[in-house]
Amino acid sequence: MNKEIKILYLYYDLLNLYGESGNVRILEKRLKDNGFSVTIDRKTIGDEIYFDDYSLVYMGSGTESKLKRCASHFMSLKGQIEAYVESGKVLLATGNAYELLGSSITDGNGEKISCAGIFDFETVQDFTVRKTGDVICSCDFIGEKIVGFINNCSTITGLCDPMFTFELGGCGARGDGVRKGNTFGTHITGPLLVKNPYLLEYVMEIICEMHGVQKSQVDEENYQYKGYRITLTELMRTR
Amino acid sequence: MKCMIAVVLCKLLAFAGSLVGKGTSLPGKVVLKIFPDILHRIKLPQTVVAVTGSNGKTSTVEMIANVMEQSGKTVAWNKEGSNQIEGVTTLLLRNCSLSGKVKADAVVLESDERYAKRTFSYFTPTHFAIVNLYRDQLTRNGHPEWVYRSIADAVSPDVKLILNADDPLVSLLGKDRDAVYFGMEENAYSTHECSGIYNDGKYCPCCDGVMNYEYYHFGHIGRFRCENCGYGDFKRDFSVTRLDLDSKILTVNGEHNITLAFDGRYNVYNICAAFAVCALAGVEPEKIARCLSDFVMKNGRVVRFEAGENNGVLLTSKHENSVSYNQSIEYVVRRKKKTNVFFIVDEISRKYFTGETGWLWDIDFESLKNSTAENIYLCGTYAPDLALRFSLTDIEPERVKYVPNLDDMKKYLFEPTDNEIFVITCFSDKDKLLSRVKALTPTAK
Repeated sequence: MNKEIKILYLYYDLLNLYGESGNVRILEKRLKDNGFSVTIDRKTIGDEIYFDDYSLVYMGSGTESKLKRCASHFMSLKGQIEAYVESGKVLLATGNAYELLGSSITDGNGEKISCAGIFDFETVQDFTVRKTGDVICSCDFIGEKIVGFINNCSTITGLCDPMFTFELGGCGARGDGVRKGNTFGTHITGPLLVKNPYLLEYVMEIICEMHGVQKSQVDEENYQYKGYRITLTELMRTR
Repeated sequence: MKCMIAVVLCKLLAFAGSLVGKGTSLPGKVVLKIFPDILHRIKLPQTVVAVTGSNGKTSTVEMIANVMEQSGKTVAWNKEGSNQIEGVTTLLLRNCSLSGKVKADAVVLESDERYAKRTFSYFTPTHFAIVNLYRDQLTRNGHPEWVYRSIADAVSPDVKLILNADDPLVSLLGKDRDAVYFGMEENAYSTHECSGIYNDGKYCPCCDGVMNYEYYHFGHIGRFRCENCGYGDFKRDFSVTRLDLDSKILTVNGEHNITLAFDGRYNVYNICAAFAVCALAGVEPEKIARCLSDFVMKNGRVVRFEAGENNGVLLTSKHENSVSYNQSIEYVVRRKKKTNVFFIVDEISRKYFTGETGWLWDIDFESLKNSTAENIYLCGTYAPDLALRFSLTDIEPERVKYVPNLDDMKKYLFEPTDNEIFVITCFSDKDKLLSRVKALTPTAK
C-alpha cells in the first residue's frame, strides 16, 4: 500500500517564470521513487485552498505585477499559512515568491503592500535596476554548495540570519533566504531542486521522516548529480 | 564641423576594423565617447524603420531592406545585426556624407529591445515595428514585462507603430493611440488549447482579467479577448489570411500570395511584419509579395549540411528561449519520415557566461513523444541537464541517447541512416556543429 502525499503548487499560472515547474516535477519523481503515490494540486487566485491538506507547498517567481496580485491573495490566507508553517510541514518559495513570506513589499512605484509576515524582513523593489547573475552559496544544513541564479529587482532589509551565504555572486548582498522549521525561502530562481540534488535529498529526507518512510538510496552518478557537478565546475571556472 | 570629424573618425575606425576583422560596434562606441549626441546631429532620410522584439528582428530587417532595395531605394541597414546604440551609430555614420547627411533613401534598423530607449532618445524613427515579446534571455532581460517597459519608454508619440495584434503584451503598446496591426487568421496549424508548459497569455495585461482565446498559433500568440475589460480582438490591417505549409504558400489580406522558401511557421509573422512595413513605406503590395516570395535569409537561421553520406538541417534556435525551441521542435514533429534529432547545449551564451538552464523546463520536449523522431541525441556540456529533463518526459528512454562529447556526436551524425537529420541548437553553439560537418550555403529546399 503506497503512502499518499499531496503537493500544492501555488500560483502555478502566475509564478512560473523561470522553468520552476521543474521543481515540482523532480519532487514528484523522487517521491514516486520512494513509494509514495503523489497528487499535485495546481491552485491559483480564485480557487479554494486548504493548506492543511498538503505535505509540501511550492511557489515560484513571477513578474512584479503578478507577484503583487499574489501578495494580496496570499495575505488573505495568512492564518492558514501561519498554522501550516507551525505544523512543520514543508513550504518552499523560490525567486520573488520568497518576498511573500516577509512583512511587506514596496513596489517600484512606491506602493507598499502588506504581506503574510511569516518573517520580519521587508522588500523594496526598484523598477530601474535588474539584479541578475549566477550564484554559489553555502548553508549550515547541507555540506555541499548550492548553485543557482538570481533574477529580481528587490532589496531585502531586516534579514538577520540568512539561510544561504553567497560564495560567488549575489549582487552585493552577503547572504540570501530564510528558514524557519521546514519553511524555506530564497531569491534563487528557477528549478532549484533540479540543479541541487543535495538540497532535493535534504527535502526528501524531511518528507520521508514525516511519513515514517526510509528514504531510498540515490545514485550519485545519475544525470542530476552530473549536471550539478558541471554547473559547479563551470561557475568556479569563471570566478 | 563636429559631424565631419565624427563621420571621418567613424569611417577610419570602421575601415581599420574591417582589416582586422573586428566587430561593427567599436567605431560607434569611440565616436559616442567624444560626441555623445552625434545621433541627434546627423540628418536622416525620410524613411527610418526600426524593428524590435524577442525573436525574428534580424530576419524581418533583412526582408524589409531587400524589398526596399529591389523597389529601387538605396537602404542603409545593420546587416550584421549590431543592434545597440554603438552599432547603430557605426551604421549611420558610415553611410553619412561629410556634412552629416545619411546618403540613403531609407534607414532600416534592428534595435535591441532593452536599449531602444537609449538609441531613440536621439532620433525618432518614422516606423517602429514590434514583432513579439517572449521569455528570452531572461538571465539578462529579467522578463517580458520588464522588456515591455523599456520599449514603451522608447516609443515616441510621433512614430508609426506596427504591432503584432496576436501578442497581448505587444499590442498593449498601441493602447490609446494610433497603431497599425498585423497578425494571422486561424488556420490548419492553430489550436484551441494553449499547448506548451506555461501560458503567458492567460491573464489580461491591462486589467488582470482572464483572457479568452478563440485560437492559439503558438505560445501566447493567437486571437484573444479579455473577459473582463474587452481588451483584444484587434482589427488586423495586415493579416495572413491563408497558410499552407505543404504547398509552401501564404496569403496576405486575401490577395497577395507569397511562396515560402522554408516550410516552417516561425518566419510567417516576420514576413507579415515586413509586408506591413514596406506597404506603409509606399512599396506596391504586389511588388512586396514578389520580393518576399522564396526569400532566402542570409542570416543562417536554417542551414543545410552534409555529414558524410547523410544530409541534415540545422534549425538554429535560441538558448534561453523556449518559444524558439518549441518552433524548431514543432517543425521536426511535423515530419512524416523518421528522424534523428540532435540537441546541443554546450555554451549557453557567447556574449556572457551563465550556467542557468532553467529554460529547459519551459520547452515542450514532451511533444516529441508522438513524433517520427526515432533517435534523440543530447549533446554538449549541459547534456546531463538535457538528459534529466528528458528523463521526466514520457518519451521512451531507448529513443534518447546521452552524448556529452561533441566528437562522439559527430560519429552519430556520420553514421549512415535513412532517417532525416535535424540539429537544434543556438547561434552560440552552431559552429560546434558546422565545424564538424560540411555546411552548404543556406538555400531553399
